[in-house]
This record gives sequence, C-alpha cells and structure tokens, in this order.
Amino acid sequence: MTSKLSRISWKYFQKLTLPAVIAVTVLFAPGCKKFLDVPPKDLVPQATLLKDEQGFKDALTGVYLGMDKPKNGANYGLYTTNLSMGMMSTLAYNYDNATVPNIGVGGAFFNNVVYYVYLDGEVRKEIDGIWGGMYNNIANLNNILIQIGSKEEIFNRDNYNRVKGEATALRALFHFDLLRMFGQPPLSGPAVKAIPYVTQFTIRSTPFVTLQAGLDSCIVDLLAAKDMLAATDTSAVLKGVDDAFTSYTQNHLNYWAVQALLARVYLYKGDLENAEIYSKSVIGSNKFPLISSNVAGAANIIRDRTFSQEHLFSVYSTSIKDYSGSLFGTATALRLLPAGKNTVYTSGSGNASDYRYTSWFDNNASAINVPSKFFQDNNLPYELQGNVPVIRASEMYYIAAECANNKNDIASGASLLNKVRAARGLNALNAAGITNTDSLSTEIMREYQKEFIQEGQTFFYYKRLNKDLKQATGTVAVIPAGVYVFPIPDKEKEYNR
Amino acid sequence: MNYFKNKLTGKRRIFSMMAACTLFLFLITTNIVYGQEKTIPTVKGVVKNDGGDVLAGATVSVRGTKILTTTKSDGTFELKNVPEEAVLSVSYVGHTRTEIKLKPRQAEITIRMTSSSAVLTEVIVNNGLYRRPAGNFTGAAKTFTGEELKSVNPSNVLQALAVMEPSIRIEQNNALGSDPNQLPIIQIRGQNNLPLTTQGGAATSATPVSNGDIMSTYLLNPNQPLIILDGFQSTLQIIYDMDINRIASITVLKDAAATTAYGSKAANGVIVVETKQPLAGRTQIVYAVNMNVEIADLSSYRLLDAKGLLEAQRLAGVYTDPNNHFNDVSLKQWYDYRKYQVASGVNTYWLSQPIRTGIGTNHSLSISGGARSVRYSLSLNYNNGVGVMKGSGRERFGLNYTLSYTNRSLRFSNNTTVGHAKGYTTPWGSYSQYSAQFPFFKPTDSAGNTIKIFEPTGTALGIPGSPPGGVFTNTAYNAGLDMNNYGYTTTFSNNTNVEWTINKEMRLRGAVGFSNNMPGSEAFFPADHTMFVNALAAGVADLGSYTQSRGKNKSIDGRINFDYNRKFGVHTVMAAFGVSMQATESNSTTVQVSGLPNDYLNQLGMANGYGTIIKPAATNNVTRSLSSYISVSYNYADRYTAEITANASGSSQFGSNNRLAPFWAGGVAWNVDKEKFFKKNDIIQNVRVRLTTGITGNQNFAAHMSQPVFQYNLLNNYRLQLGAVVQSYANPDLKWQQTLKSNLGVTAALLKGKVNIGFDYFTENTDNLILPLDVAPSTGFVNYQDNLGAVKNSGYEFSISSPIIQNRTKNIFWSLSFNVGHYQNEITKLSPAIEALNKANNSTTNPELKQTTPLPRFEVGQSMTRIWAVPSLGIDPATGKEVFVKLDGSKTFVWDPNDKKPVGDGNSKLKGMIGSNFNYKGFTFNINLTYQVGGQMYNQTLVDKIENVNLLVTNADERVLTERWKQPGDIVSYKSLVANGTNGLQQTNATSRFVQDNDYLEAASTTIGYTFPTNLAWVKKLRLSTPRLFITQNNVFRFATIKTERGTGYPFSRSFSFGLSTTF
Repeated sequence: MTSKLSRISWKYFQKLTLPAVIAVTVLFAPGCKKFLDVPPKDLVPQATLLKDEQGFKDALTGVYLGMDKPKNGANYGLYTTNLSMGMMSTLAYNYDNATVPNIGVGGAFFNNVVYYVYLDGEVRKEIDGIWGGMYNNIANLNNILIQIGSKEEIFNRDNYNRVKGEATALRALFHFDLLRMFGQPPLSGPAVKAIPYVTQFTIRSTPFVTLQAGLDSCIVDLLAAKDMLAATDTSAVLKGVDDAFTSYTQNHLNYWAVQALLARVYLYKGDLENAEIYSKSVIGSNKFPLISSNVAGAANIIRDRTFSQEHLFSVYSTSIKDYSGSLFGTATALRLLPAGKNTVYTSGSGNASDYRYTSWFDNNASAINVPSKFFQDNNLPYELQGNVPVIRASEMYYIAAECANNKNDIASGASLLNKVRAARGLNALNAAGITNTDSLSTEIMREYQKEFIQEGQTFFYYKRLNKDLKQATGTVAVIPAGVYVFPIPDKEKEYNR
Repeated sequence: MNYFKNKLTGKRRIFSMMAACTLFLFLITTNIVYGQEKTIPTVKGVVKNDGGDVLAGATVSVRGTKILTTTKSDGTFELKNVPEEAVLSVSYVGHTRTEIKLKPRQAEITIRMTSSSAVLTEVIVNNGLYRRPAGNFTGAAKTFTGEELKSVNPSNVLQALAVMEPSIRIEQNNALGSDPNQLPIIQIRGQNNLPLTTQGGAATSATPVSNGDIMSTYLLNPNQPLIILDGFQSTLQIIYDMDINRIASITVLKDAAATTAYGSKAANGVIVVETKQPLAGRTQIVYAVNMNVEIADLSSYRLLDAKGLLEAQRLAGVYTDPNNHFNDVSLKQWYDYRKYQVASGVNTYWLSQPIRTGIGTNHSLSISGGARSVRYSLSLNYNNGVGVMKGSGRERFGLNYTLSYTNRSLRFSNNTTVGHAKGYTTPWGSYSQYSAQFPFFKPTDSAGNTIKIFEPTGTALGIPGSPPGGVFTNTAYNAGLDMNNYGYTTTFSNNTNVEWTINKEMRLRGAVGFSNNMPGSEAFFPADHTMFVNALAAGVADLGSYTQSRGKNKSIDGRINFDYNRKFGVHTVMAAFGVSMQATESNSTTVQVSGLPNDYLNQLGMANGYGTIIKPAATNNVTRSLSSYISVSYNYADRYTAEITANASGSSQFGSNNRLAPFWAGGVAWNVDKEKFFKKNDIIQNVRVRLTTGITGNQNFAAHMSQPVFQYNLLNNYRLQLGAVVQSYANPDLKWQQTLKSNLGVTAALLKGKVNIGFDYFTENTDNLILPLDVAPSTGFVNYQDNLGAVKNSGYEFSISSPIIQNRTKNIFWSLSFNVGHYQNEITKLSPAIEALNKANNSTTNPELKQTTPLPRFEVGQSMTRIWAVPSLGIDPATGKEVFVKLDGSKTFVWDPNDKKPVGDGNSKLKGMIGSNFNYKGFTFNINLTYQVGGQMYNQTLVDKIENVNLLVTNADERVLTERWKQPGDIVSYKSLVANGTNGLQQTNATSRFVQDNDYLEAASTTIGYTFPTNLAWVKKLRLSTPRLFITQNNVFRFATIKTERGTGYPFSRSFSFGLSTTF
C-alpha cells in the first residue's frame, strides 16, 4: 500500500519536473537585464553618480578641476598655465627672455612659442591638448546638462539653478576661448568657419560654425545662464562657509562673472552697446571693489599678489605652487627683463609707484627677478592660495572705458581708467595728453599690458583689435602671417569634415 | 489490462511530449513494456574483473527494488526473491557500474566488470556541463587522464598538457625561465586577439601577485582558454597549484561543437578539469610521495671571464678619453687597478652564485570509501617546490573533502577545498644582474664577509676620477639581509551538487559553488639593500621600503542542467539544457611605505612615512554573467550523428544595447565503417568523419568600455570638493568578439588496431575584434572602442599512435605515438587607429621607444606574430658596418625604421611530440620528445650581449672578443667593436641579421617506473596493494637552432622526479 502511494506521488512529482524547470527559467528572464547591470565599483557608474544632487555637484566640480588638468589635455595646465602664465603670456611677450633657448622648464617649448612656431612638434602638441582638453570639458558639461534635464526635484535650495547655470556658462566660456584662439580675429574674419559649437554629448562630430555664429551661441548660453543664476542667492560673495559647494563664490562662474563674460563677448563681437551695459552692471554691483591699498605689497603671510577681491572668477588649483615654481622658480626662469619691464610700467603715463611694478616682481630662489604674481608664499591664508584669475573687475573698467571712448566720450573713458590707476597707486592721466580717442585707446592698451601680465588676456586684446604684434609688444621675433590663429588639430580636420 | 497499460504509457508520453516540445521541438514516442510480476527465490552469482580475478566487496543490487548485497571474499553473492528478468546492478571501486538483465528464470550468473579509467577516455565525453556518449558527439576534444599527465610531468600539469596536446602552446618566457612562481601563458589553437593593451587590460590589475581574480587574469592574457574545474569557472593559478594526484582527467575542448555551450566565454577553447570522486567500497588509502630535484641549466651562457672582459672593455674604449687628458689618465689608473685584480687571480663565476640544486617534495594522501549511499573522500597535500635560485620556492598546502549521498534517484555531494600557496621570491634578485656582474670583482673580502660595494672609491685608491661605470654594488649582498619578499594566496571553495535521476532517460542536476580567494604579498627591503645605495642623497626618510598588498576575490556560481538520453531501436537521442549564472567580485589594496632604516624593523608600521609615494592603490571589480544552452544530438544506427547546440550569454561587460549574445554550433559525424558498402578488410577497420561549425564568443575586455562611468579625481580637490569626470566614451553598442570555428576531423583505426590515427583541420575566423576607433577631438574624446577588426586562424592537428607490441602472456607492451600541430594566423581587418600605432612604433624621435628590439606592427594580410625588422646584408668586411637594404632595393649604412619588412614569424609552423611507452612486467619506460619547427625568433641575447652591450657596466658574451669585426677583410657576423666615443656602444636596431630559425627538439620527459607485484611477501605484509616507484626526468636534452641565453631573469632548470605511490 505504502509503496503504491509513494509510486503515485512519485508519478506526479515526475510530471511537475519539466514545468518547474521551465518556470524557473522563465522567471529568470526578466531579471536578466537587471542582474547584468553591474559596472565596476572603483569607477562610479553614471546612473549611480547622477542620482542625486551631490553627484551633479561632483560632476560640475570635475569640470572645474578640468580647467586645470582636463582629460585628453596638454602637458601644461589649461587655464592654470597655457591660457594664463604659460603659453598665452609668452605669446603676448610678457617674458622677453624666452627668445633665448631653453628657458622655462627646459626644452625649446617657450622659445618656439615666443617665435610663434605653432607647427613645432611640442607647441603643436600643446595646442592640440588645449583643443582636446577644452572639448573634453565641454563634453562633460553637455553630459551634465543632458542628464540634469528637468530633475529639479532632486536638488535642494537653489542648487538646480546653480549647477545648470554654471554648467551652461562654462560651456560658453570654453567655446569663447576656443573662438578667441582658433577663430580669425573678429575684425577680419567674422564669417570664417572657426570651431564646432558642441551642445550634444555624442561621438558624432559637430560641424564647424563661423566666428560670428559661435559668438552668438556663446551669448545665448550666457544669457540663459545669467537668468538661471539670477534665481540663486546673489546676496553676497562668500568665502569659506559651512556648505562647500556655495563657498568661495569667486571660484565659481557666478552670476556676476557671467555678466562680465557677456561684456567681454559682446566687446569681442563688436557689440559695444551691450558690452557697456554688462560691464557697468558688474561695476555697479559693488561686489568686487577695486583694492584701496597695495595688498600685493603686504607681509608674506597675507600677501594678496593677485588682488583677489577683484576676481570675478578665478580657477583654483592646488598645483599652482608647482606650476609657478617650475616656470619662475629656477635659474632659467621666464622673466620680463628690466628694460622691458620699464617700458611697460614706468614709461609714458606709467610710474615706478605702480603697485604692479613694485609688487608683481620678486627675486626667486636663484636670485633672479621674475614675475611673481603666482608665487604662493608660505603660510598664505587658504583663500589666497591657488587662484588664477580668469576674469577680473579691472577689465570691466577697461571695457566701459573703451565703450565710452568709442562714443567719443573721452572724459568718461578717462575717468573710468583713472579709477583703476588710482587703485594701482598711479596718478590720474594728464588730461592734456588725452586729446583724442586714439590717445585714450593707447592708454587702455597700456593698462591691459600692465594689468594682465601672466594672465594671458593681453594677447586676446591685441587680436581683437588686429594690432600689429611687432609694434604692440616690441618683440624681436619675426611675426609670421596668421599668428593670431592657432592651427586646428590634424585629427579634427581628418575626422570632422 | 492492455488498456490500462496503454493509459499508463500514455501519461508518460504526454510527459515526454512536453519535454520534447519545449526542449527541442521534436516528438518522441516511448513504448515500454513492463516485466512480469514473478520472482525467483535465489539468484547466485560471481563478480569478476576484466582480467578474470574475483572482486570482493562489490555492491550488487536489483534495480527498482531495495534488494542489495555485497560480494564475499571469493567474489560470490546471493540474492533472495528477485523478480524474474530483473536488472542486476553491480558497482565496484575503479570500475564502471555494470547492469545485466537476467534471462527468464535465470538463477545463476557471472558478471564481468571493466575498469573505469579506460571507459573515461573512450566512451564518454564530458564538456564540464554535461556528459554524453562519444557516439553522439561530433566535436574536437581530447581527454587525458590524470595518470597519463602525471607520468609526463609529475610536478607541472600544465607543462604535461602542452607536451601531450599539439593544439596547446605555452609561450616560452625567456626572461622568467623556470621560476616556480610564474604562471605559464597558454593558448589553444593560436591567438584570437591582438597583443595590445587596447583591450583595456593590463593596467586594470594593481595586484602584483598573479591572483585568483578570474577577470583580471583574462584581461592580462586575452587569449587564455576558459578553465572549468568540476563544472565551475576557475583560474589557471588554481590548476597550477593543484595536487596532480587529485586530477581524474583533463579534457581540452577545441572546436565550436565542443565549446559553444559556454557561449561568450568559449572562443579561446576550454580546458575542463575533473577531480577524482569518492567511490564506494572498503576504505582505500592512497599515498604518493614525489621528490623533485631541479638543476639549473646554464649551458646556454657563454660569458667572458675576468681577463677577457677587461680586454674587451679596453678595446671598447672604456679606459680612454681622447678628449680629456685628465680623465684619460684617471681611467688608465682604474684600468691598472682592475688589471691588478685580474692578475691577482680574481675571476668570479657569478652565474653560479645564486644557484642551488632545488630539492622539493610533494606528499599526497587520500582516504576514500563509504557504503553505497554515503561516500566520502579526504585528500591532503603538501608540496614544497624549490626553485634553482636560492631562496625561491613555492609552498602549497591543500585539503579537499567530499561527501556524497546517494539514494535511489538522488545524489547529493558537497565538496570543500582549502588551499594555501606561498611563493617566495629570491632575495638574490634578478638573475640578469649576475650575468652582468664583472668577473674581476670579488664576492667576499679577505675575512669572508660579503662585499656590498665592490670597488674602493677613487679617493681611497688615490685615483683622481670616479671609476668607469660608476659605483658597482653586489646584489648578492642582499641575500644576507633580513628581508621579506613573498606572495601568497589562500583559497576556499565549496561546491554543492544535486543530481536527480528522474528516470532512465532524464536527469536534473543543480549546482551551487562559492569560492573565496585571498591573495596578498609582502615585500620589505631594508635601507641596507643595494637598491638604496645611490639614493642616500635623497634623505634618510626614503631609505628602506615596505609594500603590502591584500586582495579578495569572491565568486558565486549557480547552475541547473537537465538532460535527456534515450535509445529506441536504431535511434539514440540526447538532449541537454541548462542555465548558469556567475557573480564575481574582486578587490585589492596596495600600500607602500618608506623609511625603514634597520632590517629588524620588518613591519609596515615601523616605517616613518610614505616617502614620495602619497597614495595607496585599490581596485574593485564586479562582474556578472548569465548563460543558457540547449544541445540536441541524434544518432542513427551508430552510423550518422547530428548535433546542434545553441547558447545565449549575457554579461555585465557588454554594452547596454547588446546585453544578450546568441551563439550556436552544429555538427555531423559519419561512421563510414558501419556502412554496408564498407567491406571488411585487413587495412582499415574503423573510420569516423566529423564536421562541425559554429560561433563562439570572447568577452575578455574591460567593463567600462561599454557603460558610462565617472572617474573621480582623487589627487586634487577644488576648494575642498572632489570632482568626477566621464572616464571614456562608453559604446552602448559594444559587442562580444565572435569566432566562427569550423572543424573537419577524421579518426581511423588501421591494421586491426595496430595504428590509430586522428586528424583535425580547423579554421577560426574572429570577427568584431574590439579595437579603438579615432574620432574628432571636438567630441571631447580621442577614440572609443568598437568592434572593428578581424583575424583568421587556421591549422591542423594530426596524431598517430600504435600499440606495436601487445603481448599479454609475456606481459610486454610497447606503444609509439606521434603528433603534430600547425596553425597560422592572418589579420584580415583593422581599424585606422592601428595604423597610427604602427607609425608611432616607427618613430625615431621618441626616446622611450626601444628600436633595439622589433616592435609590434599589425597589417592586414600579415600574422600577429610577424617579426618586422630592416633587411640586412650583413657586415661590410671593409668597414665593419652593417649594410641595410632599403625598401626600393638600394643599399645603405643608415638604419631607418621605415625600411622594416616582415622578416620572420614568431609563431612556429609545426609543434608536436614523439612518444614511446614501454611496459615489461612491472617496468615502465616512457620517453616524450617535443619539437618545434618553422618559426623564427629575434635573438635578443646576441644583440644585447654582443652588439648593444654596454661594456661600461655589464659583462658580455665571449663572442664580443672573438667574432666581432676587427680589421678590413674580416668576414664576421658582428659589427666592429670600436671605441666611437661612447664606450663601444653602437646601437644595433631591429635588423634581419638577428632573426633566427627557432627550431628545437627537446626531451620533455623521460620516465622509468616499476610497479611491485602484489604477491611479494613484503607487499602483502605491509597490506599495500599497488606500490609503484618511478623516476621522471624533464628536459634531459635540448637541440636548438638558436642559441640564446635562456632564462635571463630566472634560469631554466632540468628536473628529476622520484616518486613512490601506494594504495593500502
């Protein structure tokens, strides 16, 4: 009897086997995809990172870090060396000893740069690296902007607008600087194809647009960014506060910096009306007042060599000490020789009392007098360390002055310029010498030359106005044709037709 | 009654139909007739083995009942109330289960059993997922028993496998020689991947020890075959460290039909390792001891002695400076000092200093037994592998426990393995340092203390300048220091198998495996170590270093298999279906610290800081994969066989758009001799032709290539915030590489079994090779990975074996075997990015490129192993300069990388083995010769030790003095040794002059063994059953066309093994 029972149950058991096997298999199938979705842990999968606010903040911070060392970038830091104290300043003839071989960190790099040999292997590599690094940053920004979409609900306070606004503005900044480097000078080639303006995250290449169209896209992005950032807390310019993300306003591309950038872009485009509006708006905000005493000449522990309160936006990097040390700290340091220094600072309307003359040059460890804007003194307060200005308040006065000058309002122009001169320990311009727009223009250029040593903006100033480089800089180099336009990387030409 | 019976079978039929419909969509009708319900009161019988001896203790049962007994000492048994025409089932240790159906009213029976080792190789093919009769199998596979492999090489199973199987090749690593801590690089039927780091490999593994991480080992060698140990994916390391006595069999699966069930992991072939399972019967104890003696093989070295070296240095201009008289005088004084040393008799043979005769032992003990339902086995193993360099070795401990329970239809088994292996790196340092050391340096001072710095300073000797070549330190000095340098790995694994025999036709099996592998390494170098001699100036804090790394690799596997096997009439149908999943996780941490001034401060925590190393390293990888297969085979009348297998694999490594990969294979086989038209003859008795084709995959690439991943920048912060950027452009369409494998095989038995031949021809077309594709940098990326390339491999394997003498009465057996394997490789498609890579390798301006060795270059139509060098006409007798041929045919003295042409191929055309196996009574004599023909090698030693030798700092080959060009008219093979201002160092770049044929014949193994007869008095007294003594010698001789210094970083060795094994 029992055996019969067991046989029957066995029989039914047998019958159920196959359906059971199939059921288990079928149950597996929908779980498959999820089971297989496990990227490695030491790298963070996008889906995990961009799930909350912190992830977006970190992705944005990644781009700020990329302004120093981006992926696919060059040998030298991007905004921290090539676009500031390194290549761009050398092109503006800030370091007249670069005409001697093996100056700087050794090798022929700066020597080739000062002679504008863009096609030299090393220089070419650096230019390709600028292109690659800038666009890698742009790709990261586009990824953030696509991923952030309308995920407003995962953000606290005004952080959605901060992230999205800053990302949009940074995209414009990078494209604008690419346009300034790789595009034709605005006076001679606004309709010439310049760069691709990339707004998608894709492996397919974006077609080249003209300088004009590129600048217009920058303006579109910046205006959008301005509106987004206007919706954030703009009551104060902060230093270190409890929230790391909103700390150090000046190290973020903030609301005012976006307006300053708009002024710079409009001016580059030749739209002086708008340039004046935005430069005045920044000046009028009074958030970034000009210095009132020579903070760059203060004792070492508080020595503010870059006049940091005037920074609308500066890039932070922990490596500035190394960069500055390798270029300016050695026996073969890059330098502006005494004659050149005097030409820039003390001749004409200049004076040896200029804070920039007295405090922006120091002897390095090898007792050589070098430009010292980026020296990081021992025990320097944290907030003064590692800043490389991208855009500063004094430029707003120069832009406003240029706009006034353009309207033949020489008096207003001179008065704007005098505000900066006063803040630099110089007397007001002798009104008798400023009789026409040309003379005021010359004074503005001289201010650019003095103010932006080691910051790289002077070269773009020359380019914007199609200045004769030989005349403007007094360089001994033969100026080749097309010196204002960097060569597009070969790989770009090959793969983006 | 009849009606009822039909109804019953009807139900069975429905069940079968369900199985058939869902599994393979064809219908099988079953028709079973049940026996009559009569019984026989007593059935008597006797159980014998194939030799006619009675078997005591065999289990005899009646199938389908609980009637069971064991045989007595005379092999007889008695069963009561046995149903008429019942099926008797007999099992015995080491024999296959035998089932015999009683004839009507039969009450007496003699049952003969066959030993199982023979059955394993001939009848069943096991692919690790399911077993099937060889008749239903069309694929190319080869099985070797553990015993066969052990007789070839008792200490290295992988070497043994390479000797026996022509399709397996082990990459000769000339630098690492016979280092016991180096895993061989193996491949089956050639390589399917470009040897580039573009596969995302290499850099991802931070752990210095070759560890048990499944993923990283494949990334390091993307051509490595899949390793399956008892049904679960395993690593080469585990097989390498495993006790050879535990191995029951190793099956090498080669073609698509054999491997497709493994889907996306199968393209490189599969090595299936099965361990011995406990057998029922009385408790059996097997003990084997093996002593392994290793002797360094230094015969390939021909270094200069003290006098010769000094002369060579003098000729090379080491002791002159024509441009600076002051230096010149100083150098002359150094020459005089060294000459005095030579004259005083210093002539140290450095090569023998770090060398010893390594004597290692392997003990292996296993106990197994149990009744019919519960069986167990326990095996213990201790192996002490001793390398030929002093202080190097590998110690292994192993414990394995298996418990199985079988009832009528369920079989449950659980297996636990614990292993620990510790590999010691020699404190004597790299062997290349000893071949470089000057023979006119003394190893010890007059008091017998080891010298640390060889020469006194110039000041001490009153010589104004520093010695030529700088400060020389004695690497041997480090051997006397208290330092640690070892790696270890602890392995734990537990596998559970459940097998349910539903009925005669159907079986369901499930298995779960868990393994945990914990590798680590410790390396401590005290401040007194010679590596810090020149770093003294760097400051005390950085002297001495300690590196510690820890890893943990876990994997969990699960599997369900169902198989169906039925024979009706002339038809045999076999089907198997299964699902498996795997999850692995591996991580590792490495910390390095500096500043441990004393050698007794040998702890990580004793360091005074991180020195210049600022960051610990860590990796963490997670992978998951899923695979399901279905395989159906059909055999008609033992004549025709057809099979088809399909697999769907998924892996977390694939792009999100391509998560599940389909693979398939099909094959047919034809037993020609079973046809009616095949007349019986004396020449050919047996011919079987097989043809298979199918697609398999390879997923040995890094996961981040297909998925968007952010990478944190941990070295920098932005105002105290960390940032992350997109790591690379993830290609969501990225697919597995797929290989279309085709195989045509013929096996035949000739001359009444006197000659057996096997032949396989194969082609493997790998498509979708993952290569980088360059894109416009304005996309933000330099390139991305896509399926772009293609490679074709083709070749054949041929084997012939012949039992020449088989005399049972006189007990003489002699068999010969020969095999040969050939494969060739051709790149059929490449991405443009590779062209850029080729160009970069032709650069003369990049100082990091070493043109002294042929750099890889990949071109469509060429093989991956092609050697590219500039064609050379030899040395111009007039000038002593090398004459090159440019691409346009003109001659030049100037070497230009753009003149490189394909001048050889690193892949040898033929590789194989010749073996002889002789048995007389208890004596065994085996010899296996391996050979390789038709490949080339760039003789780097000649270049490095004769022409590019920097005599300022290293010793050289004696041919530097004897065979280099000296004066006009000399017709020699080597460039002039002339001081050209840089101490005779004229760089010789990749030239066809040093491309040499790499053919060899080597006695891979020779074994002499003796099995003591069981009737000896002492054998009986000690209750031993098969005591066996054997001596194996590996690499007795080697004839090679190329003479290189073999084993530059670690010497090669010849080994002798003495083994004794016995069963209690």
